[in-house]
Amino acid sequence: MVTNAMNSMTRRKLLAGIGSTTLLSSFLLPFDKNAAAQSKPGSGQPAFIAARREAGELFSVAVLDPNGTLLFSEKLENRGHATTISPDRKKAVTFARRPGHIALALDLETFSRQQFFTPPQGLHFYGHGFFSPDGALLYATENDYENERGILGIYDTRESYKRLGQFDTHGIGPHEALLMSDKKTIAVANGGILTHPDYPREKLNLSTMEPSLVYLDARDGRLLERVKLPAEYYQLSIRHMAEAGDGSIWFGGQYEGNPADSISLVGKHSRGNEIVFSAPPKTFSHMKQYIGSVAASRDGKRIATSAPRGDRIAIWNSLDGNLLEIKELVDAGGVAASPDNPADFVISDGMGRIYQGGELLYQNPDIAWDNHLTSL
Amino acid sequence: MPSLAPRLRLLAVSLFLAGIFQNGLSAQEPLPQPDFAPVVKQMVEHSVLPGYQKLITAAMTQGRVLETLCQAPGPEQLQQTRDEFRNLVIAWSAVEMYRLGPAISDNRQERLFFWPDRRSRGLKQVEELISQQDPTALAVEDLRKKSVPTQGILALEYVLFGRGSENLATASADNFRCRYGVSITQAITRTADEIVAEWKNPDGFANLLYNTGPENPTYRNDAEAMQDFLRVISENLQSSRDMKLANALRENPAASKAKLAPFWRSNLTLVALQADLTSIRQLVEAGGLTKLAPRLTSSLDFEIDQASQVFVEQLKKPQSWSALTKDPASHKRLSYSLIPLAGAQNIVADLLPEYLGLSLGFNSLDGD
Repeated sequence: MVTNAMNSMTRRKLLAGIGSTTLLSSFLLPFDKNAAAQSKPGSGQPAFIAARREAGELFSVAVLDPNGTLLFSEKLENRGHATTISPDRKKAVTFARRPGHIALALDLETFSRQQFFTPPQGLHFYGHGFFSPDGALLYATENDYENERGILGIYDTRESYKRLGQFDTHGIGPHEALLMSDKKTIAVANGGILTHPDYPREKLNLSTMEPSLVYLDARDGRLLERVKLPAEYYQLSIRHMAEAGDGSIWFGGQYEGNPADSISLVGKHSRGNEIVFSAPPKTFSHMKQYIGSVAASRDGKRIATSAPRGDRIAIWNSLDGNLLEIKELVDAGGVAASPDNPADFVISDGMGRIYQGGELLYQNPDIAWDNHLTSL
Repeated sequence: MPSLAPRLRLLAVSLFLAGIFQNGLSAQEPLPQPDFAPVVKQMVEHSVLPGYQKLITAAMTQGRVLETLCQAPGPEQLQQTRDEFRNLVIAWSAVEMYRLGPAISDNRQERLFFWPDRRSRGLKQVEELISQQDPTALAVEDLRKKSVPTQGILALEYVLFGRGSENLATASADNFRCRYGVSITQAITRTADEIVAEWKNPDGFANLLYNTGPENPTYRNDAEAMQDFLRVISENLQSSRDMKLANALRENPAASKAKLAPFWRSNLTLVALQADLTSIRQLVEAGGLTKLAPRLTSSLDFEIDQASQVFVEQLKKPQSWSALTKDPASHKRLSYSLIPLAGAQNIVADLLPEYLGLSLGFNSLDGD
């Protein structure tokens, strides 16, 4: 069995030969739990939620307070993926990782499990979702695998997550979806990759992928706009995204073509315009053609993108699109807006660490934080 | 799928037999990181490149035999052509696992082997092309511009073994179906040629693997190059076990779905699976991993041998692959082979990387 400690050691060893660039900041972080932040106001209140792997290949979702203290955790049958928080911050829902069939609703007031729920027969979750502005509805990205189409399932949060209906995402493989700040528009990242539970995680249409960014009317699911990538980027699966302060959508992709191809991985789209890549392909060398998470800072002026295979976090200026810095951090997957600093981010990694403002907030080498981190 | 718990128990038994639990792997410290550069180079030069070269040769031979059939159709010529297809499948299975740069580029892997073909989308295109007698499919340049499922090994399998293929023995000389088959063999040759060229090119993929470092955008060090080879072996074992075998066998003979495995039409499913396993053994040996990690590679060999024995024993039976999956005794034996295959994958995916100091982070593996 591979241990986390082993992972940590060998990955650090692997990084030994990596050179630094002018933008590559040495992310000098304490490795001692004692160096974690002192007690802050609001401790005892939920601040961060993320899925994790515990020792013995057990999976769970954990809720931490602002000091990084574990408030409670709930077991998951299999690996979890992303968590979404209700607008009143009283509920959270964690989705199973693709092709999972389970979502877990948590009560953040009583620190307890509310319920598990599943999509109807013939569907599975893709791992992301969001609440309606009043918290009454939950939307989840799903695979209607027999009909080979992506959908947004709609659930009634006040009626035990009863299925109410669904919207077509107008593309295959919807992954992350969000409600934009106008509260009227849903943005969906259609990854473009066809999968079926008969062949778990096998990509069935690599030669004919059509990733897209889609905008839907939140009231009725009407298609407002569908944007495709340039033809030469047809194998860049758009997976994760965040809305910047100016209303533009920033996305991160995962490339399915030749690993030696030179490819931009992060782009930006404003309604009615073409997609613009944030930087030339050279900027993304060493990111291993894989962006794991995208988050906007609370002030909306910065975007963070993680590249766990390349052991890097990139921070972007969302206004002018410029790259601000690249941090080197082994197996860093989760990025979320910092509750403390409106311009900063919180970062989690596969070695059980969470960083905030360059400080170690949490560390437990027996666990691995999964791909996404959500802050309240 | 059969339930997991009994399988895990059997996997533990299998690993015990393979000597892994017995000798206590945890008591063995990982190696100081070995020099992976020669291992990677030997794998490329002694296994990958010769493998593709054999595929090119097999496709060309298949093309020549098909030409003979086209010129003088007859039952014997058809049988010879079908027999030759077996060699092509074995040659393909030896390189199927190398889903690395040159095979991924320009959808070459899918051009050679469009599988799984859920909903028979690719098959329908092949059927339509034959029924329409599309003359543009007879020129290899034009065929390669068509959709990828129409130009690979499974398209050729349909030509030689699919509905209406028996007419190849009685049809007129130079009939469309036969000429299309020749065109496919040329397309396979071209695609494999391109893959070899992209490996060998001075700026090609082998060069990337041989010259790792901070300036190399794909491989920062030799360990990453080595990891990629272990990854493709692991993925190949997983594909053989879960997607090809377990998916077809299901819980019991009545529930089995033989056609979910590739090469059921030509009854070469087990031949292909056996060749997949042989190719893993050859790669491990060619790279010198047997010297770097003797105990683990010996355990891997044991697990592969266990599965291989089942395939060989079932191949001796007169029944077709489809009939074997419906026969209780054969189904039981084939289901047993899933256990050593799981053991083999565990060694390649977890134990070998740990021993060699190559384990990847949780999110790096497949964060989604």
